[in-house]
Amino acid sequence: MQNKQKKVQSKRKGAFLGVTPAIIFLLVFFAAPFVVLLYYSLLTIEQGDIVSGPTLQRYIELLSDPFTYYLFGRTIGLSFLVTALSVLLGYPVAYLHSKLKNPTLKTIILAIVSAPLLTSSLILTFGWIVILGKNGMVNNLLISLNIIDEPLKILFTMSAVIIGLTQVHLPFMIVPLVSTLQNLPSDLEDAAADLGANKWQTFWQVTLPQSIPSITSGVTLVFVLAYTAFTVPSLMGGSAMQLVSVYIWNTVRSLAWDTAAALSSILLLTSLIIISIINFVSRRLTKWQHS
Amino acid sequence: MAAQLTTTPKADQNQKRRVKKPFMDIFGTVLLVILAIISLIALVLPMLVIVIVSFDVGPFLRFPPEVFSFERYQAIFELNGFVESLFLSLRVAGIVVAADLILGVPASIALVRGNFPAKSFIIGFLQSPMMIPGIVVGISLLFYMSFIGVNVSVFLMTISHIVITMPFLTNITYARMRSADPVLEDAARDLGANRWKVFQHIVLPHLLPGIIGGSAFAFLLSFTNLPTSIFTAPILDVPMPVYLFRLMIYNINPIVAPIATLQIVLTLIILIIGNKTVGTGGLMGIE
Repeated sequence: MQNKQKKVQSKRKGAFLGVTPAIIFLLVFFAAPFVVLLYYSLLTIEQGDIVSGPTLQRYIELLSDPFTYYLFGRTIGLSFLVTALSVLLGYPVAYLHSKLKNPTLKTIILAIVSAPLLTSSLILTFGWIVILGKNGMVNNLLISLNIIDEPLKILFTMSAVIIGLTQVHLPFMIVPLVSTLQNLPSDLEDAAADLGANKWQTFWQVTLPQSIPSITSGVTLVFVLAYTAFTVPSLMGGSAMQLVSVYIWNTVRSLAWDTAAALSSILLLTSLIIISIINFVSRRLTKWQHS
Repeated sequence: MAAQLTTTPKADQNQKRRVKKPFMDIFGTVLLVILAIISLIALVLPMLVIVIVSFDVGPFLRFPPEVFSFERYQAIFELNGFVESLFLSLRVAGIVVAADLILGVPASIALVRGNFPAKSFIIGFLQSPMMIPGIVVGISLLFYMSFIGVNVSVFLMTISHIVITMPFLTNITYARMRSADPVLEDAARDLGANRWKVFQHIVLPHLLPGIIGGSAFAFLLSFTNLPTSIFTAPILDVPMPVYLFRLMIYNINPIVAPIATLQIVLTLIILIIGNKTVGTGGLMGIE
């Protein structure tokens, strides 16, 4: 008995040794830098040198500037639009995948969904530049159909950023939905059909409510990724359509590190608040499951 | 009579519903298929277009191309600094995967088999870099290095890549480890195998698909990372994504097309490796 306890204890100690290197690494290179970031947001830094601090000066400046609200408001609004579009475009793909019987078609859909997931967003952005550019696919198509005479300016507008962000993050919406809808027991849908519900009603009252948890994880993921995305807005937005991340990048480049640190903290804080709101709403919507 | 009167409107209603039924069903199905097709086309379109324009010629991007040539592929090798960037990215990604494995695999085994306090807190902590945007990880490491007085270097970029990729690899190996049967390990131990033998013959073979899939994914994440590298990469020694970003940001250089095509091919290879080992969902940490 005593022997056994000893054995368990030695196992316990040895096991903790396994996690220690990873924990130390993240403490030194992830947690500590994060503390420095928060500390920098309280300082006054000129040309990369600390001048004075710590004060709340940077936050007061930012929060009394209407541009800050405009910048964050625009980015948040745009990210919600991207999230809504990816639910609208992503759900049908996952639903179709769950209803198809042909295994080849199913594999093709999964391959189409996972290829952009693993392709870097830089590459996808380049593709959209070819599609939406002045001499691009959309403009040449519209001109050859005689719909327009002059190429439209699509690239470097808000629409381009929305299209790019939606496509890049769409797979993050589809993948959790595919695994949920795939594993949804068909009994409930059959029962609804037996009770006289048509497909439309069954979808709205049986299938959709059951997929709310995975819609929530998709929505959270897409929102956060779109809100903090850098590649698409920096290359497709142009200088007129700056979003928070691109603005922060420019602030770091102009060596206003204190402001960049404060903006990064606001970015993180706002995304945490929005994630909590999304999860709160989702829990409200799925109350029937918990009770 | 009264009963009949009440059933008539009911029957009417039933009939109305029956008329409505097929319409809404057809409408719903058509809408569903249309939306699904739009999104599937949008998902592949950028990649298809890149492959097509990579065979075009000339200093500008256009679609559709008018010729078919390998000119742009040949021009890659004349690009100033391209080969250096490519090798830098490959080297960094290799070191990152090795470091991820050294840190992540023991951690995931310990988290499944070990019995120590605050386990869920530790799991949360190990996953936390995934919740923080790439640009914030990059900026905070940049400021940290300046704070402790170290210059931006390839070392810093490598560190930043380990921070952002390790949670993904750990997640994949952790999920794999959870599906391993502890009875097999106990049996081996009872038969006199030491710790290393148990790891070598029981744990490792079971973890292997997760290790391969996770490594491939971590490699890809490091090889293609832009938002973090843009802050942590040295100005002169830039990795591939930053190199490509510079070719794209002010004036688009069409030479990006063949390079992007080659990267798409690399991605497809990794996708196949991932599918064969842990499944596409497994790569994303979904069981």
